[in-house]
Amino acid sequence: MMQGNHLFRLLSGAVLLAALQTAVIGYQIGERAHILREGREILLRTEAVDPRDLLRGDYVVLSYPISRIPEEKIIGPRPTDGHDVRLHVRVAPEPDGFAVVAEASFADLPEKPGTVVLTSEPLLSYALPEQGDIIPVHYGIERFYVPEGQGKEIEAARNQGAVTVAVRVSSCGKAQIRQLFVGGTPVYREPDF
Amino acid sequence: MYRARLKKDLERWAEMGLISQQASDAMLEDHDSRSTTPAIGGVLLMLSAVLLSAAILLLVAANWQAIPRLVKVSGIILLIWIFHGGAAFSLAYGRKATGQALLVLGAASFGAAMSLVGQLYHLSGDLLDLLYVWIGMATLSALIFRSGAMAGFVGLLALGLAGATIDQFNFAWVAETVWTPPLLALLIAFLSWFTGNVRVQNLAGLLLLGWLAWIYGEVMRTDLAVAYAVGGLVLFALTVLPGLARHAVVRLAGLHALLLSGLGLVILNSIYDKGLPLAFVAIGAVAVAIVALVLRGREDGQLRSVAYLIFGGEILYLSFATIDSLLGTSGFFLISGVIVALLALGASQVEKRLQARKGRAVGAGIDAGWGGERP
Repeated sequence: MMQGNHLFRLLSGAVLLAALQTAVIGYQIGERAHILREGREILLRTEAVDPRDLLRGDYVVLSYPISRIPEEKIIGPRPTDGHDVRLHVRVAPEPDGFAVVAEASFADLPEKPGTVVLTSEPLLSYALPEQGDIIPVHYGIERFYVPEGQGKEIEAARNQGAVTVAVRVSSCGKAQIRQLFVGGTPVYREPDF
Repeated sequence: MYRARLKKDLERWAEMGLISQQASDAMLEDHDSRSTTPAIGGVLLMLSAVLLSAAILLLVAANWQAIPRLVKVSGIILLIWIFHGGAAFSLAYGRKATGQALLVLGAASFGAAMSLVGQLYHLSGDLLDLLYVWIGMATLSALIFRSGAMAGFVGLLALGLAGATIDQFNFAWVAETVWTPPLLALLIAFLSWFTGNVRVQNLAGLLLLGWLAWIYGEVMRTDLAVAYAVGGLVLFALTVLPGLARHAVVRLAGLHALLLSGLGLVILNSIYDKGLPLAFVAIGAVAVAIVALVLRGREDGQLRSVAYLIFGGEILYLSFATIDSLLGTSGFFLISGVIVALLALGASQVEKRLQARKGRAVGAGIDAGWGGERP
């Protein structure tokens, strides 16, 4: 009887832990799949690094024109305290379909038809921006993970400006890479879940 | 190590006729039956779990296209369930080593699963979030199963998280970089106490020492280095107090306190690299080593090594840096050598007298009341 109780307690612990971990993974997948399904799409050009992440493997570094916000595009008040400062960036497509920065703000930006608002990650070294400054921001879409050893082709294409990326953006401004194109052709096409 | 010493002592006492051969054998047997040193099979099992964990993590990182996405995700979630379920069964049926190894595999699979999600959805800049959730789950596992191995796993993740935090914020002085390492050290200390895995405390000590070294690098103030050297020695002296010294945790803390003192001395040596100030720092270093040896050198081999390291390091450094000149340094060594010899003479006199008193007490059949540890 004692043995049975002991087993039951340990097993409940194991089930609890495994269920929690499954829920975390499920939530992470669900959140991203939701952005892919429901988010609004923008197209981005990429610019001209074969690094490797210990946990996630080889990746190609992606940088975007919208990753650098000129100071004059920032509207509204500037925060003085540098902790957890995020920029909200409104992007709108140009005639060729690629999105560029329309305006940016430290406060929330209202919705406007034909545009999409992205929320940046917290700025790492925040100083009150001065005139002529260019503020570098990240959106959490700066890496494209590729099978081991296959990053060179995409990098070569990227360095020639031939890589473009379709990104889906959730209503709260979180960005998610949907598809990467080399010369207009999608690569590593995968279902969203 | 302790067993070898015990055996030697028991043999000696049996030979002297103080105890019978049976008593000696029985004592040794009793020690073996209570022994907490892990069996070699369990150690190998844990090594194998570490290797398998690395295999799972690297399989994910390889981003192998031959396995479809859905199979990868469901496979790794299945692994999480199998490892945790297996651990529960193993622990329930008394197979402790297997259970602990399976818990480690389960925790590694969870980290691999999160890495996989990040890879599938091309996430960047979220390494800290990943590590927070991973440490959270590993901590929960250590608490639920009271697992010493998982406490160690949390300790290693904590070192990774502290490093990643400082890297992420470009070594800047912000709340995250300043508070993450000591909070993680607290977590490790708590888990170490809760699971009874004393050795994990070493990771907490390492984390704190690294943190203090980094803080010095940020503020670069001489008084801080002095505070390390003196404070470390004072903390160490506190851990020698008879009531505290019985606990293994306190002894380990004392070791790290002495290392802190050593850290302060290294910094001071680099600040004052010539002349009289260097001589004072050197006197300080030799004094720290001697105080440590006198207070606890007899019982504790690890501590002796640290004290020798401080002593030997300082002598070697002085020989290269030299106080003013080779002649000056030689004079310094001569004076120090004479002083230490006098100390040694004094110490052995005290030891002899103590021993004589103890001998009389035992001879008179009186329990002298020494608490097992030397004061």
